[in-house]
Amino acid sequence: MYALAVVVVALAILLGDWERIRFNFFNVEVMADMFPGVLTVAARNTILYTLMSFAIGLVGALALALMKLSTIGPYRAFAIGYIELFRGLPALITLILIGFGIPIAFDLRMPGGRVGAGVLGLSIVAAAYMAETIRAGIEAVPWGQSEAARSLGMSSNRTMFTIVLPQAFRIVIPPLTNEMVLLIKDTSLFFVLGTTPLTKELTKFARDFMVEIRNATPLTVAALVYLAITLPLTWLVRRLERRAAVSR
Amino acid sequence: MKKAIRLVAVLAAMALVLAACGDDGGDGGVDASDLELVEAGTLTICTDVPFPPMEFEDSNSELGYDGFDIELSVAIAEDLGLEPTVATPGWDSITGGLAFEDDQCDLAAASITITEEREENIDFSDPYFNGEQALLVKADSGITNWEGLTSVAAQTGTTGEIYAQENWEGVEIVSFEDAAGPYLALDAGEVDGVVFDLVSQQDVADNDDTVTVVETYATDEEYGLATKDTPNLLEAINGSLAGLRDAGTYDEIYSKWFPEA
Repeated sequence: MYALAVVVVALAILLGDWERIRFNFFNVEVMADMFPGVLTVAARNTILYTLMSFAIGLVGALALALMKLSTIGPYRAFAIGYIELFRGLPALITLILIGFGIPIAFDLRMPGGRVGAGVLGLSIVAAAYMAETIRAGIEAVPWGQSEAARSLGMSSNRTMFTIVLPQAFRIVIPPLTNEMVLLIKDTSLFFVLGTTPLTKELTKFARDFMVEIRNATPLTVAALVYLAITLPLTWLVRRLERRAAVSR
Repeated sequence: MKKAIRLVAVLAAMALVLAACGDDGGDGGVDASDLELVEAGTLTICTDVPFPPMEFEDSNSELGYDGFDIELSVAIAEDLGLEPTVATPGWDSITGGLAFEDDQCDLAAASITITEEREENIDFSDPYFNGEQALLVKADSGITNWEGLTSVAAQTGTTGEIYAQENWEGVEIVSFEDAAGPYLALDAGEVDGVVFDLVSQQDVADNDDTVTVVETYATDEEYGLATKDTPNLLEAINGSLAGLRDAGTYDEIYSKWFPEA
């Protein structure tokens, strides 16, 4: 089987027109042209939109998780409905709904304009995905903890917020960080709501560059910048998972 | 026996890979007539929708599309004895030439303004339409000219976007990839207006009382049909255009789509 692998690699090297590939995907002049804009505008926007969506989504996810675990029927029903809906729809549709559908139908303006609508839409999607993660984390905290807290006379709210949730968060930090990585990639959908030179995120920035200079190098640069953002995060996740495993 | 079968499978797979790599995919290898067509006997018309009244989707039409540009292109196809068909590869790949290089189009009829920049990437026919830009706003907004705008929407890479960028100091220009986005943004209140070709703006305003055209800008622009690297086809198209004008067919099509003119 090694022979097959060697043959395939050899074929790729022989049949690839490396000069053309270099010119079209790794053109150094084009790369130089893209800086600093690709970092100061595009990457900055991507990171900003991700962090904002993550923060708002996290608050929403916490609320949803608690609602899903609640003893009150309507709360549970709402949480289940919300989660199923926004996990079932493509993020793109949610963005268009929030950015165009709702303003047109209800004649209201989204706060924060296009960026606000994009962040709100993505937060809604993020909340749906993270709610399940947080719920699982809450349920993973040993039942003995809440038993002990209640027997000490703590109210169920106090138990939840001071005893259970802090422990739950330690458990869910690795999967939540994974969610953030997914969010980074979903910000590439923001273009559909309209872009201005200063609000472009990484993918749109690269695509516009590509159209302007008719070369695929901007995509390579965008890919590298995305990896520069996500790889440290996934490395961090691995470290956190190891530490969590050790402390058990 | 097993080893032999595996070896044959590997060789077959390699043969497939080699065969796939060897086929270039159409550097002009598909020409079956001296009109250099993507598919012999067919005129593949590329356009970008929706942009009424020039081009838009129409389920009642045989081609699935209708509009001034479509009808004109079909008339040219008939004149050249070709079967028309329509494709929509995207505005950027049409004006950048990629759609032609990819063998997706013979001819592009999409209200494309003839500009020097575009001439570097595609070849234009003789001009077939005079264009100008216009500003569309909500009728109840109280805006009467571009100076009343805080933000305006445009389609990326259009002469309207360029006009706004060059002339409208202090107005935020929001760009969309297709021609529908700007109007959605206006409806949603995300922008104060839309800057686009007069033909489309007027059509939208005629069909929607909530919006109105408040200003037009004479830009001396002309639309051209586009091809790329197919000089014989281009010559034939120009010949057809001239013939259609002489025979009065152009005027017929024009007065059908622009009756007040």
